[in-house]
Amino acid sequence: MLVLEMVPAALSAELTKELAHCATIGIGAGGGTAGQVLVLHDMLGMNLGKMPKFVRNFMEGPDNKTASVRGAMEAYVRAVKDGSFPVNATHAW
Amino acid sequence: MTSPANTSATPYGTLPPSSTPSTRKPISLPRLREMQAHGEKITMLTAYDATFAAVADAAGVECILVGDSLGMVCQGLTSTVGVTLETMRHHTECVANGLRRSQATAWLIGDLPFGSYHESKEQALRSAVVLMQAGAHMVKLEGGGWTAETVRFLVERGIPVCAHLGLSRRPCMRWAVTACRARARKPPPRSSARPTNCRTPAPPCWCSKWCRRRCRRN
Repeated sequence: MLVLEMVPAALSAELTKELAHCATIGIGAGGGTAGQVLVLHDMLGMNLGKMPKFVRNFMEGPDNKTASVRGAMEAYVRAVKDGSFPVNATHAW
Repeated sequence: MTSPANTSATPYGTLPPSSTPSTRKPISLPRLREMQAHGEKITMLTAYDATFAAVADAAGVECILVGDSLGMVCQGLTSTVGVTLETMRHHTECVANGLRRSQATAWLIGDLPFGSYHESKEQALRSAVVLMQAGAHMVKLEGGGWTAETVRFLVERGIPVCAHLGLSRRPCMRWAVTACRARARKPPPRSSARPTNCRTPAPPCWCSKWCRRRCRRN
């Protein structure tokens, strides 16, 4: 397993293709990786500072119908599985 | 739907009963490999305590990372340099306890903190054993090509390892002195983009060298 942190989307997609035997997990590395990781408190919007560009607040939005922590996590899982998060244009370089 | 026998209400919060992915089998390395082969995306979240870990597990998150980001998130530090192995052991144990009290299906990764694997591969093994005994299924370490030998040493001894490339939250690392910026923005020449020898347990070495070179130029 290999975490790619803020690596440009094109490069991380290429790495993912090359490393077929090693799951790449991206954070700010675009949607081309085998998986995604986020810091829990960031994706729950528990951040007073500047939110990094690659984070989405899953506590907000129509996907989290129950407006709960668990709802946010389920929305995150759904969004990653169906490819709607991350969006290369907004969450990556 | 079955609920785990040991799920119980506590005065200060109740760990969730088994629900959404109740039929999910415990995540294993073969399962992660299978997901990658089938193009199913792997989800990972950080967690630093029992309740958040249990909720993430119940929500269907496959991997839980006890990240050294707890330095900033839980301890109020400005970087991850001040996080010790004992702190990581404590939080890994808390998360493992939380998972055991819910479904215990998530794959648990513990971060080896700064200074806990830098001295030698033997030191890395001792540190990894501490996290594995606290309940981690895999350890994660940061660094470039110099960690390749350590990764191989651990993997050969049965410790799954997650490597890391790109931005480091440890400001003392030479190639991360610049602020929070994307790493290795320039595309590599085609020839160097082809790893020729990455069948070893430590494939990242070729590109981390490359990343560092690029980042120094930035």
